[in-house]
Amino acid sequence: MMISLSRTIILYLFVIFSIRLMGKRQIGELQPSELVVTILVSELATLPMQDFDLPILLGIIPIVTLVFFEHIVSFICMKNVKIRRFINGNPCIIIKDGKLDIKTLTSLRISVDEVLEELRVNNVTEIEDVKYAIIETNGQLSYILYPHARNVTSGMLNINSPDSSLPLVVVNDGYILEHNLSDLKKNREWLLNYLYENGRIDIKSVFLMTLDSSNNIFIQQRNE
Amino acid sequence: MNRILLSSICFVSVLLICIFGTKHVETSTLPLIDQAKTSLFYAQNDDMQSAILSMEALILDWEETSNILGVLLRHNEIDDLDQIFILCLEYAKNGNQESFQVETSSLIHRLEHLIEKEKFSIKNIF
Repeated sequence: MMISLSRTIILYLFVIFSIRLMGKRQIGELQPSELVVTILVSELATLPMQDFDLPILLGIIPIVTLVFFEHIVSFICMKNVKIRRFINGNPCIIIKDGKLDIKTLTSLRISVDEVLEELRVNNVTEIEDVKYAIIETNGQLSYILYPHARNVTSGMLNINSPDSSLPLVVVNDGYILEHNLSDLKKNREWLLNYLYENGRIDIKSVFLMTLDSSNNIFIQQRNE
Repeated sequence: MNRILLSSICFVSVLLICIFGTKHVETSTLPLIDQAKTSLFYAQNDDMQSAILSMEALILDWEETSNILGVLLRHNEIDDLDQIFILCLEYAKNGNQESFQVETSSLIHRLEHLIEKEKFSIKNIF
């Protein structure tokens, strides 16, 4: 029993390390080679967890090898377009000028229903509104709408809207995040002073406080 | 770049472990095979007392070696060999010369097979 527990902990930590080593791309958008590696890593990790006859090393060796080769392949793909196209494939245009490309759809084995579903998910109901729709190498659908179907932006209306910056969390559950404060060129003293001047709020009672470079502040206290 | 470097370091470490592992299986098993052959030789020449002493020494060496081998090889293989060692010693102590010889030959074969299985060869890869 304890062997199973310790093996699981070791392999869990090892798989976390491996996935972190593969980088953020692995978690979000999987290319074909990355998908294969991710599935294989999880499968390989379970073998020594369940089979006590298998030395833990025999689970670790293939995981390290896969992660290493995944890095090498990613690096080569980054440097060489031909190899990248061979390994990851090409994006395919499935809608051009508001018309479905039936030949491409057939070769990709994607049904019209699936295309419509994917467009509906993105709030597009008419194929005629789509100038281009592309199946990316990671399998996701991206599209470009005709100007008449696009959402109106302030730029189109020539309206000068104030630039908003990224709000950063400066207090999380009563804990001051100093590095975010310094990114915004503020310090602990400024923060405590602000809280004191705005209702003598105790820092420990602040559940969440965000701040952006335009000094827009959001505060939620624990008791709210 | 750091990730590539780190995964390269891990891969090189694993590669070294693999090379060391393969070498270790060979270097630690070969003396055991020699000892088992000596024990078998004594038994074939009706010297069961020397065969028992040789087998006891062999078992002590095996117990030491099997700890590291357990990290490199499947544990059921190590367990199977453990059982054969015990059987050999029991046969020898009971004076069952014929069974001892059969079991020791099997032991030698199994030990040789361990080295064979770990060898980097086309046969083993495919």
